[in-house]
Amino acid sequence: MNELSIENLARIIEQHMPHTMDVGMKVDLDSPPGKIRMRIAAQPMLAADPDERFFFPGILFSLADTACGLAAGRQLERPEPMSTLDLRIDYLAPALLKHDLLAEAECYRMTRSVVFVRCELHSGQRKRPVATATGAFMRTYYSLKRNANEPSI
Amino acid sequence: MSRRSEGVPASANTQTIVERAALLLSRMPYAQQMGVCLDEHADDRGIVLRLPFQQRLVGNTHLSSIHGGVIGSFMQITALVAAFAQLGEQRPPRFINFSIDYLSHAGPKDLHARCSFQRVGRRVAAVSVSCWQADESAPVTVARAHLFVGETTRT
Repeated sequence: MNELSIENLARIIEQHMPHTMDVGMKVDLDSPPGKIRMRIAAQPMLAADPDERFFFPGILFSLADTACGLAAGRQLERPEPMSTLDLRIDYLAPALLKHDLLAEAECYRMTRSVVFVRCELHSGQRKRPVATATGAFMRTYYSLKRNANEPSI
Repeated sequence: MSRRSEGVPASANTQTIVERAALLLSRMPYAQQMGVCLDEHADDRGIVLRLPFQQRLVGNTHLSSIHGGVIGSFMQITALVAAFAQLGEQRPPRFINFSIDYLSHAGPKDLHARCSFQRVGRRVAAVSVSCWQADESAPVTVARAHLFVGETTRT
């Protein structure tokens, strides 16, 4: 496998990225191939409300942003700068601060110039997601691992 | 009930828009954690929030750029505070969705954001948020969102 190792990605997030370290994001080293699983522990400072009942919605957004970025990065043969074009999140249910927040992101389409990603967020082990996100990243170099013959968009 | 016209001050009590904005900011633990504050440039187009740059908000240490998730959170705080303060909400609004376009790199400088209301209905408001660093006419990100508004109880 040529893809960036999950250990490398986890090291970036947990040791070299100030914001993700600040809020305590972790990368699951057992993430299935092509996917990224992440987690953020419930902490009072991440609350939306003074009663500390709910995660602030931006924390879900930030976790989705980071997981989508890693899922896109995991598709690349070698590290390559990418810029986020957009990210959209739909809030499906309240994310209680009782449970840790889990995210699973995947790249569902990659062209020579754009990586399309999506992410599902769960509250603890509950089956139904609390949020879904989709986004696109612009690639700066062409280092595509597969589908090299496809036309760029 | 005429509370839905934009720019009408909160009628629920005698607090000013700026006071209501400061009140909600102080009640959001994560806004406090990030260090979000009211900007001195609030005017008749509404309040402006400011996120002072700090190293712990960085996403890419090579470029010292602010993490995209931090910018998103800051813009969300701006939408919530503006809607609560300017629409005279009784409770903080809730997000239905939020969509951001990243237009340019956000360097190691303060961020500013302003929310405008595209449509305010009885239950839902469609808003857009603009976020900039040096120049308001050159935003680093823009976002649109739908918020539940007009709630008196939370279910």
